[in-house]
Amino acid sequence: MSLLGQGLGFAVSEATLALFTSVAPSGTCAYLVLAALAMRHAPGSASRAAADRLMVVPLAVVLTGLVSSATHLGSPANILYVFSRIGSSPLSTEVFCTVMFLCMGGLYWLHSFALRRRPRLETAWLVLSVAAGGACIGSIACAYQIPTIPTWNAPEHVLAQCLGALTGGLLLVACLLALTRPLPCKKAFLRLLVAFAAMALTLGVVVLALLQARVGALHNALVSVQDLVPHYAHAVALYALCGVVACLLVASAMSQAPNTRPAARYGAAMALMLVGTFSLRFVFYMSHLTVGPAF
Amino acid sequence: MPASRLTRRPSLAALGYALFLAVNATGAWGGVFPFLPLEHQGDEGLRGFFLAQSPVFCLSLFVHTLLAYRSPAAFKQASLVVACAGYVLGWSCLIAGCYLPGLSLLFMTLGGALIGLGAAGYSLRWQSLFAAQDANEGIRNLIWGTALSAVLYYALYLIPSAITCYLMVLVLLPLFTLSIVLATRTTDRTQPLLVNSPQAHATVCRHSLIDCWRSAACVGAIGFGCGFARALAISDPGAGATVNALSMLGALMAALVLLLLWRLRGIRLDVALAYRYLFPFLITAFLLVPVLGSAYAGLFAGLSNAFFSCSAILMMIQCAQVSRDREIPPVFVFGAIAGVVFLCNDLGFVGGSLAGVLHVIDMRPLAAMALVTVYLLALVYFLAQGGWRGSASRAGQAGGHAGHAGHAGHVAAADQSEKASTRRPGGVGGVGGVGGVGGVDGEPRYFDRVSKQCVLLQKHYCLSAREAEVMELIARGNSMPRIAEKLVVSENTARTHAKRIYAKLAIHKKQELLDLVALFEPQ
Repeated sequence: MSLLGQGLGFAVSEATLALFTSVAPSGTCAYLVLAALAMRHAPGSASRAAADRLMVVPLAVVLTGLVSSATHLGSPANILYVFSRIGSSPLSTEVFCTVMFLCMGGLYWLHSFALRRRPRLETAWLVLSVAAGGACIGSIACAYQIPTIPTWNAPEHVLAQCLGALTGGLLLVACLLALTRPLPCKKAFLRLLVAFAAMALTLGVVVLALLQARVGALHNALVSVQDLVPHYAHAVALYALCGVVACLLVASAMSQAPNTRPAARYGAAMALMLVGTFSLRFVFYMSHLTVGPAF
Repeated sequence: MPASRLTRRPSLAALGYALFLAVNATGAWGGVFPFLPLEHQGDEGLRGFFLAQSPVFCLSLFVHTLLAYRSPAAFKQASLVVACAGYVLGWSCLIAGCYLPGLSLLFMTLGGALIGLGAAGYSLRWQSLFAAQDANEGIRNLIWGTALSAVLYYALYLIPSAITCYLMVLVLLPLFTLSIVLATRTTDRTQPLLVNSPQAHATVCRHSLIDCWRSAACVGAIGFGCGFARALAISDPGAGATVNALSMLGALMAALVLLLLWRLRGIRLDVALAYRYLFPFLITAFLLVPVLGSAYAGLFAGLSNAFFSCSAILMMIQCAQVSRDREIPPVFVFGAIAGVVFLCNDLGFVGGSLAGVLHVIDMRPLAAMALVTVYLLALVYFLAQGGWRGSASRAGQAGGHAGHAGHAGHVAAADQSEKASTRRPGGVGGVGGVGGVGGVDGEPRYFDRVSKQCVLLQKHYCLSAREAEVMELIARGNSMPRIAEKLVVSENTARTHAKRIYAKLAIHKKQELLDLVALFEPQ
């Protein structure tokens, strides 16, 4: 097998994890933004209810990622092994944090339909779910800081992951809010979300370029990063292009008449964002270079 | 009902019901757990599950019926909580069995009992919801839900099997429970059928059950055959998932056929008549069992489930209609009827499971069991057509009206047209139950112009069968107390029907109704 094929084979075998790490952080980030929006409004108000109800979409996104990552488990009995290594295994920890976040967020969302409201409990629960969401993003971003894999063991990876989550999450929230009637926030807020997403995208691309400069020259006795991932720069360019087009699509859809709902554009924007992020995660797994006799 | 109303996108209730059916198909159908590891599904465990789940399910339906009769308030408060708890704990037991193989039998049995309890509770809640909704909306949700359940069931295969059982408890169950709660909030909870105490209307309740028994027997016979076919097909546990998939395909086909029929002609709610149409296909399918043997089992299971699904949908529609018309709790009617039907289904399953080991008569066990099933189907056919009395009636009609095929209970004499207007074809109530409807050839037969006009008005203004009956009785000059007496309902109920009729026809006086009946000409 060629060296490129070796990297490609590893990435394909981890494609479901690539999907998980592509969508789960963005979904979690979207939940956090919606939670912040919800906390600005009093419990029971229409805007609060709208924000609460929308939370199901980010939760579904995270759940989709988690479900896809479970393809290699085989049997329900194996789930115990995953949870038996919480703390000692970063992968177990990220799964645990994601499950906890989903449970807390899901319960909050379910409770938002209750007729009898308990404002203090709701707010406290929301804060807890936000903390769980933060832990989820952190655990996913840090899960690959493995000393024996120098190409992954870089703080730029953590930063790039967080900025990617921010880009995708903000765009997702902008799309969701724009599609909600009546609009639960001011239109300027939506534009602000898109602007922040674009900024996060720019910063993310810069960090990725720095990362390339740091790990691009690494190699061990058998293989180099260049051999494993010769198209890393192209993947970053694709991510940047997809991100830019997605931001433009969302911005242009927002500028249309208020009574139109250009759902297709929002959908296309999110699909592009997914393609860009997934391609980035895919080349990340291709760059799996163990330390072994690393120089 | 206009076709456009049926073709609208599925509602929250339809989606929730579909999700419930899809999840139910992975656990409550005895003998198959497509999303649990096969090594945990030993013969003993499956037997324990079925022997616990089936009786508890049927018993639970009967107990709910009794509760709804004696203490409706207690039922309303407890039913969803009990159903949810039963389902969650039942699935938890099944999952626990995977981790503790030594206690697998215990967990499977316990899980079966709890899932039976939960499934019965949810079924009753769904029925209650559909009955409380507007008749057309309820039917639409029911048919759409059944059709979508197959799609969702197949979608479950996209989920990694390691976590499907967890998702059922942690995600899918809360979602369909939420959809029941939200859909229920949109219904009028002060409707008489939801607040009336059945105990105070004992005669009405008794008459409702009497009116439904033929339909229950028909659906029960099909259920028996379906259970038999299913047991044959899953004698090899490895084929269980395929059998389930084929059965869901059968349910999908049944729902689509009903949907198509509705669009083309409107559903005529006559389970006995539907049974008569299905009867030749059913007995032919069973005749092929001993001839084609096990190779035919999977297809046969799918086919018989299509028949069963079709008749079960009609049964649910009928039960809901009876509840609306008689204003008695849906749980009371459906609990009793569904209890009988699913008991028959379970007996068929037990019979099919024993087909390979029992040697009662000097025949191959499979052939003997198929013979018993065909006998049962034929017997129910005879009973559904009126039994001895129906035969005598037909003979009398044949003598009096040469050249006209008779129909059990059809009274063609003009002086009995008023009586006929209160009769429902095949002894059931429902859509198309206005006087004269329900000819042997499926075409409406009118006794006089008033009957015909009432049918036209019913179709045009989407009146329910009961409303059409009341309208016809009003048009024939009956007073409210007389109508109540004829229909075996309270006077208040008759007045409620009259109010709804006036509202739907946008009229305010009886004279306006009489004018409308006399002059109505649909475009």
